[in-house]
Amino acid sequence: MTIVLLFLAATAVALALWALLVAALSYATRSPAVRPGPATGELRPESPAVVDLITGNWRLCDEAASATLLDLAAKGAVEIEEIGPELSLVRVREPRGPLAPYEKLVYDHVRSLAVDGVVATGALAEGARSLGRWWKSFRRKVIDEARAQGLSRARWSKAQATLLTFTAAVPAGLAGLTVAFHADDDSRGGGIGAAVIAFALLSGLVGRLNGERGTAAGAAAAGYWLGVREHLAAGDAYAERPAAAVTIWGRHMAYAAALGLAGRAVAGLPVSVPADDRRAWSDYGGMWHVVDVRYPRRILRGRSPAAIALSGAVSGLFAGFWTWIVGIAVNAFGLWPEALVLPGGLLVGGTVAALPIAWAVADLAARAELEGQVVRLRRVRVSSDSDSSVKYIYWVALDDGRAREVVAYGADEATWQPLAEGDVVRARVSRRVGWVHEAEILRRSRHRDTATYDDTGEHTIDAPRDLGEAGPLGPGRGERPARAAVVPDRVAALLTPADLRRVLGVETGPAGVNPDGPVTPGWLATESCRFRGTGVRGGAEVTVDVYAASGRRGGYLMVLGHLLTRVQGRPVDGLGSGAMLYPGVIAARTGSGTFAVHVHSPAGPPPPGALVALARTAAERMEGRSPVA
Amino acid sequence: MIIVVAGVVALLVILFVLFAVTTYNGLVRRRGAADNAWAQIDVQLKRRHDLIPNLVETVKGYAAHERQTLEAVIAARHHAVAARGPQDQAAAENMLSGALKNLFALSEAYPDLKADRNFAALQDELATSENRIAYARQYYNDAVLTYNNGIQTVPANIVAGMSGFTPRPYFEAPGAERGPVQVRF
Repeated sequence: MTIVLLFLAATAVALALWALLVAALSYATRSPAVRPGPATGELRPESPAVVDLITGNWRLCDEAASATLLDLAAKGAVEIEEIGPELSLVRVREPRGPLAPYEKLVYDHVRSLAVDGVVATGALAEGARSLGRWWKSFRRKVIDEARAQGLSRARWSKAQATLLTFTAAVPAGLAGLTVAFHADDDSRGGGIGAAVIAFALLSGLVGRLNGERGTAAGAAAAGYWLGVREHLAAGDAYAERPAAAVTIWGRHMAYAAALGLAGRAVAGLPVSVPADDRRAWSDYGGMWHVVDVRYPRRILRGRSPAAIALSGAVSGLFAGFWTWIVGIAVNAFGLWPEALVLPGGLLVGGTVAALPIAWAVADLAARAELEGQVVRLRRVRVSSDSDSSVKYIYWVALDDGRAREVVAYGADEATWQPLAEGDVVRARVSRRVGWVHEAEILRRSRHRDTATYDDTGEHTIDAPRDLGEAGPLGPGRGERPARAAVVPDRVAALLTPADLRRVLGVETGPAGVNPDGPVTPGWLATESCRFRGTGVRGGAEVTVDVYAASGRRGGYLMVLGHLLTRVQGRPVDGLGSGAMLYPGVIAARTGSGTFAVHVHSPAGPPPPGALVALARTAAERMEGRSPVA
Repeated sequence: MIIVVAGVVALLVILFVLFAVTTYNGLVRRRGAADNAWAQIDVQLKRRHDLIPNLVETVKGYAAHERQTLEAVIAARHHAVAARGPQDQAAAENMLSGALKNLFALSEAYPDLKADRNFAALQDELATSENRIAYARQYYNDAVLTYNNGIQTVPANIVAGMSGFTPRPYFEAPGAERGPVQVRF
């Protein structure tokens, strides 16, 4: 017993010390204090979503997605028009420049919903996306950009995370030993389980605490934007303006939304909020319109006719029995004639049973075939038995285009399961009892094939539709360095037309100016050049962009591949001091700097081997080990 | 006894007045919503009307001798601008849409006209206007449906009848109301 107490005390001490370490590291890695700058109306290059992150204590708020949509409207990628107080439209246009990954996420969502290029603002919450995954993807992309701009970083460095994880093993191990010594000889193995669980819990805690924190540059930027906030807040000019006001107010409106000053506009653009159960937007008939959905009480509606008749019979039996019992009791006191005890029970029971049974029977004459669009599919958990089996009720709301208010129908699981919101179906329904007997899908919802946003892990991000056409991070946001009029010698020397012909089979001219300019923030001092040529694969045009950066921050160029392709890169061994490969892009770090090569073509990206071969050549040139051919 | 009866009557009167006031206010709100929705249609129609003179001038530059078609568009626009009320307006706008379709059909016979950037931009702008009008029309018709249901259902129809609320006409779309919207000329 003494040894158990000793281990218990040691566990407590180790846990306290570990908690102290966590607290000390948390304090040491806190975000720098943000001091609001002077009020100003001048906008800086950071996008509204990044501004939302850095001014929200490095936590992304819901407004960020709406602010991004407003920013897209200000930049002409979409138009927001007000038709009436409760109806505004987002009209999809071709973006004038490349979009940042999170902007593209929002743009693609809007485009996926558009009918004839138009979607009602209220319908932005519709669609088959998994909102949780979508939001994680959006957040991840915004954080990536903030990190690339040097405004944000993960709380723990690798060393700190490793330290915390390893030291967590000490209290976890001691906890396991405590359990092991406390247990009987036969069950000492439980100690291992306890240690594993404790370690998992503590490691999980370390992971949970590893949020974003600001850098010094981030704090300075946040202070500046708080100054902008003060300027925009003066006069409360944005709070009551609808989203369509972005046509007049431009990007200031988007920043006002990101800074929490444009409540009405944000509420009018439900990009990142779940769809309302009772207010659905339907595009049945070709135009978006609102449909109010009612879910009836399941007394005489929402169940199959047989279930209603059965429940009526049971209710009648129950009511008749208790009326009979009460009749007997009352008769015992001489207050009710004995001859009426049984008839009374039968009358009450029969009356209670007759109504639902008659209702269910009358339904036979009210069956109909209904054609319309599924606007809401809901499953509601109703009870859980002791054996953990869960029961659900299933609702299907159909818009047949005849009314703007519909009552949801009940359905069984087999009927409900194959349906999806947006499907056009022909259903055989009981109108009176509100039950779908069967439903045939006439046209599958166009939302069924939308992206699932399975990119919620660490950079496992969905691929663009055409990897070969992945666009660079747009120049639209903020000031970019002036485009170089001449090709920088250093970057032009990394690859030559001969290299491209040898590796890619592409005939190109000499390196030219990259007209898109550096796709990275100005402080990264990136140099770039472009080769244009015709490939062997179907003669498609091939463009090769080469980027190079050096200095302390040059390593940030490694994220370029992710920014351009939005897919998870994979490391390439034996290339420089670290290299990452993406579809069409390879980035590598060497002792003399960092470079990236982006090969894009409508025919798709080149094979990984070719990219690696190009990168090896470029790495050797950068390190001066190989002369220019 | 008289006091009791008088009290009951007074209570009923108060309840009726309360009902009448709340119903009246509700109907006024719905009528306001319908008026507002009509104003939105008006805005969108004016936008379309304003585009047509430019379009006609552009077409004249390439197909001046197609007088009949051009004059039909001008006349249809004149009727549409002069029309008052949803029913007249709907009829005039339908006539204008038909005339515009003929005008756009002309462009097939004049490749230079079809290639004209100004003409393409106007065509695109008119298509966008059509789409806006379609949404404004739907918005108006929904508002009218709510209003008309409000004044025709029992017991609100009693208050509506006493206070002069009359049904509003719908702004009828050309062709099938519920069919997919085609906004291309």
